[in-house]
Amino acid sequence: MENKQISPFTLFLLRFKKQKPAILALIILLLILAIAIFAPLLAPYDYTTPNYSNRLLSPSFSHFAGTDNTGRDVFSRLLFGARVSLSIGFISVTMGMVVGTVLGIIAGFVGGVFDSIVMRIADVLFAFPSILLAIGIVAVLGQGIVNVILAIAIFSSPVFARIVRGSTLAIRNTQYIKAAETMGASKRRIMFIHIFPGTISSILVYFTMRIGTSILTAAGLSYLGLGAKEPSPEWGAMLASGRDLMYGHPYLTIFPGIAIFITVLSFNILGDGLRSALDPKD
Amino acid sequence: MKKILEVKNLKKHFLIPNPKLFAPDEALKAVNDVTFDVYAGETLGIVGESGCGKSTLGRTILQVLKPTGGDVIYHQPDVDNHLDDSINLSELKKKDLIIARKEMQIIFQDPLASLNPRMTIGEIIGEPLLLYRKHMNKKEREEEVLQWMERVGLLRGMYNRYPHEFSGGQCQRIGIARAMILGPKIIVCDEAVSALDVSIQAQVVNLLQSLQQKFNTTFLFISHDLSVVRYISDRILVLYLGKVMEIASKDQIYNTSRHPYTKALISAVPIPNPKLERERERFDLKGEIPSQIHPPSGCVFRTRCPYADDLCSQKTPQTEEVEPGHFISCHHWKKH
Repeated sequence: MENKQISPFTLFLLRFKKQKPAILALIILLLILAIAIFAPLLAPYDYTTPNYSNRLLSPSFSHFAGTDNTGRDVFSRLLFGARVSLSIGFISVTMGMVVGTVLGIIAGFVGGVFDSIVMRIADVLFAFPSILLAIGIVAVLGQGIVNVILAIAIFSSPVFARIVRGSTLAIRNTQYIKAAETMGASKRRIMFIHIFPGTISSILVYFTMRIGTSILTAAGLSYLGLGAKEPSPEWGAMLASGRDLMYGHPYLTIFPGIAIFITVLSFNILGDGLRSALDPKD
Repeated sequence: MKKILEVKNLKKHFLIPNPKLFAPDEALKAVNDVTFDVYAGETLGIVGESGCGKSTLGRTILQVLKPTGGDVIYHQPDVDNHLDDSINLSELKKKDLIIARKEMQIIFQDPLASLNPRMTIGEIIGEPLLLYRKHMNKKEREEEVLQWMERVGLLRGMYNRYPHEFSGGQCQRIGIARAMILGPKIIVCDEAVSALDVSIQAQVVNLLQSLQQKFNTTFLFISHDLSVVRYISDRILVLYLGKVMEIASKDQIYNTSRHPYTKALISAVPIPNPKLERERERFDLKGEIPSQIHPPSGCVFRTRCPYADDLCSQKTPQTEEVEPGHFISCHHWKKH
């Protein structure tokens, strides 16, 4: 036998390499991440200080995306906006993922009443259109970025609970889980050492896709005036503030729109690619 | 020889939902009133057709499945004789059972499926140590695992590999190392070699035997393959529809078997010599295994037995000791 060690992870990398669109999406996302991190170095202007002598300039070489109605450089605001949007996406989905995964594994493994309760709660949350649910939660908690994150976390968690429960049910009936039970492994050990690694692949796919969705939802909430507020450069908030001037100065809404579009699309394509690479069936 | 395990009237019934509305659930009697002893250091073969309850019996003995009734009494071999060394496994609480379980392990039929695909071989074999020898540090554990890998014929360099990189035979060696690493007293081999091809079967069986001699382990060897069972077992238990038909030493079973079912099973094994094969008297079974939900009255084997008469349908035969160590449950064992 040759002495080559193929871990499941190496195998995944080999398969992922074949997913060309996903690799492009990943590169774009890494670029956006770099922009978010290095925004202070990259931005040509300050993104908060108004400059009333430069109001509503069209895109030019000094202002790549023009200026808004208080004279702030839209391009610089977009760069800083990447920070806000990505943070909202990552933090909220991570929170939802942790809660959903833990509940899903326990529900799938323990079953019974606990399973029914968790899944019925998930069903209730699923019954609402996500943006409506988010509006409702923000209406209860109050406006602001933190509450938007909480709202997205709350309606992301049932997605994870459901898919993790599904994988758990499938893994729970395998021989190797029976073997671990016979060996005398505790329930906690079986759930988190034996079953959890088997659910990671589906979690990863949904994690990626949900980030796209949650950035979109956050932007939507801000657009409706429920999320981030001026002077925050959140992309949805920028869209909202450009709305009234859309006919005379369309670049105020086009550029934040493109930023949202590219980011969300990249997350979705990456998620699709991950799914193909992780799915053992093809 | 010292008894290590006494199985008394063990029952395992599964409830089957009744398709009729409001009718009570029906019981599938997978193991129905099974009594036998196991002696320390021996290999007891458990044979029978598919669906006769062999695997359920093995799992119920280990309390992986909770028995519906009956007792499994375990005599700890290391305890002095004048002390009470017996533990009734079927009465233990879950917590005590986990501790008792390290003395009893199981080797599964499908070697690859019983290994977690996301763990390395080292992690898999070392897991029992992690669970039961918490004082061991990582280095000691690794050393112990490597030692066991060598014992079962795996190379040290395979420590960090994953199960899918191994052949069936190698996976079964991994399963054996995992089952034996804690030094259990009893191992249930649940069709442990049935999924392997014949040449590998022989290797694994030989490995089991050499480990048994070295560590004085008791094996319950469950299999439908009579040739393998004949090779490895000291005594053999024949199971039919969850009931014991015959228990005897290997030679008694194969040479002077008195139960019609055992005779039929043995007669189904081909003889490698074509001349003998053609001339021998066959003893064929007619029909299929009856339903376990509604087993035949009296003797469960009567529907397929050539000697069955009215007595067989009226009265369940008791297990009789027809010669030392040879138990039969049949009304007519003297006749044939």
